[in-house]
Amino acid sequence: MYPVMADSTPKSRIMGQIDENLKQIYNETLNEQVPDKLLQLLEQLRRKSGQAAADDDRDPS
Amino acid sequence: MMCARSSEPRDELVKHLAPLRAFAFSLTRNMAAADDLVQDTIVKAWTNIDKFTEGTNLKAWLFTILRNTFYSSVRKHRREVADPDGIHAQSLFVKPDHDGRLAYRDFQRAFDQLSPEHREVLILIGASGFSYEESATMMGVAVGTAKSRTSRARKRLSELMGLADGEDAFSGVDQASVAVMGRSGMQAA
Repeated sequence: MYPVMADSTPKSRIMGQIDENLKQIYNETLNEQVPDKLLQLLEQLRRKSGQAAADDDRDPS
Repeated sequence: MMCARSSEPRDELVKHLAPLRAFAFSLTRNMAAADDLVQDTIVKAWTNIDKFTEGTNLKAWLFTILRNTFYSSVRKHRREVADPDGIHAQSLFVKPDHDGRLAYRDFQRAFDQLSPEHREVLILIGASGFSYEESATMMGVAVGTAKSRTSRARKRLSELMGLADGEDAFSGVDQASVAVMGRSGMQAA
């Protein structure tokens, strides 16, 4: 993962740790369960566009 | 009756909710605001799905919508700066633990102090797995700009943690902690 870690200078060691911590910040939220309200939003959008498509099909004009 | 194709990009959106939240949180540093931002992004993506070119990177397209939405709302409601004088930032000087590792909590505090532009570039390139080229396109800048922004962001992050950039990081830490200890020492005296 960090090829220069073994005999690296303090600076590159710090930089390697910065990278590691940045990944941790990102991954913490990434691994959280997605809240229901976002899943429900997609469901609502799907229903609404399904409804719109059905309305188009039935459009008598 | 119209049949939805199985590879409908709208059906793929659900897969990107978690990465979108992670990216949104790195911009807002507030989970409620991040979820609102993801919500706005999803609605925009859903209604503008015809503007997405199939076969291109959907995640990058969504991230672009999200960051554009974020910056336009920041421009609209210019929120006051939480720490205009950097008083909080001064107290951020930390030194690595005895084994030389940065404490994660201190790292998070330093990350919070960065500008959203700096947090963005570090997360896009350092954590979310996009290349410089992809990140530059998403941010609407040249690749060279993305690279120099990344190095400025890293330098700023190092400064916030009291680590001098470009010299021996540990001697930089020592100077910083001496300064901090000097200040608290004066209080005690």
